[in-house]
Amino acid sequence: MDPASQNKPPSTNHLIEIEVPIVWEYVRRVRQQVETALAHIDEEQRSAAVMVASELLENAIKYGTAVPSLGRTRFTLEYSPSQIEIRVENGLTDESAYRRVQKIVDSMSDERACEKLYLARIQELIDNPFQSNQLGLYRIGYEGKFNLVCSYENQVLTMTARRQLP
Amino acid sequence: MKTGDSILTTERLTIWHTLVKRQHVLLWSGECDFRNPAEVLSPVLTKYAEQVKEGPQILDFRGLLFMNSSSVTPVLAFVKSLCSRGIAVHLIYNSDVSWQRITASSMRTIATALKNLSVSVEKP
Repeated sequence: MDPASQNKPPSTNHLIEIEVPIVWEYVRRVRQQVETALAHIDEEQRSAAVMVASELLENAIKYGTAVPSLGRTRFTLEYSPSQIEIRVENGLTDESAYRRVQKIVDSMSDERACEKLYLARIQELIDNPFQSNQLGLYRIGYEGKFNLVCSYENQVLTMTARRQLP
Repeated sequence: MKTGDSILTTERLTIWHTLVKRQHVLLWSGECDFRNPAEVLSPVLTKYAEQVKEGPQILDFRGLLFMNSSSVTPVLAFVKSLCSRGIAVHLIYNSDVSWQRITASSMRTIATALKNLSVSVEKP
């Protein structure tokens, strides 16, 4: 590689695509790879991307399973100067679980809604800490300022998080 | 409880107890990214809380590089358990780290609902 180009931000899409075993320790590895891949961008945007990658991958590894069309979790990071996109795909045999996720994602219509949902969820956890957390998706929208969409096809759940860059 | 003791030491996360100007401080350092954080954090935080007689108790998160959302629940339960006993709790976040500033902002909002809780953002 040309030494002069080593610290130069890429002008075209920068892509990471990883097939991740359904093993918890890989969350940390991917987090580190995202941190390294986005080393050239603003700290706040990079930190947000690392968090989003981690939260989505944690969910995929916790709740995902191998299915015929996808045996592992697939993680993709795309970067361009105008957008960061993080996509996580995992097998999911329970379609009702997808509908629950979709309902949450649909409720996250904008940043203001995400903030309200995030804070309301924290309040619920204070009132009753003995329930499942379910904070991660709201955190992606509120803290990370990423827009989240999801889809489900061939028993594969795809979560896509995008953030426009100024 | 002795001061200067680690109340939790794992490969990635350490929680260190120390006494600064007669204030009990829990210094969090490393990455809090357990799959089931309640299994790891709740026993040590519950044991610590049982030994606490007075405040203020300071939770200093500035040394944390990462905390997953699953870890929020046991931390909130710990803070609530102290606050509900009338013990003042103060949370310190790192002003140089964006996710810590945002978390501090959220905690400030909920501090209105938890008496005895205060939050600050400070340099590391």
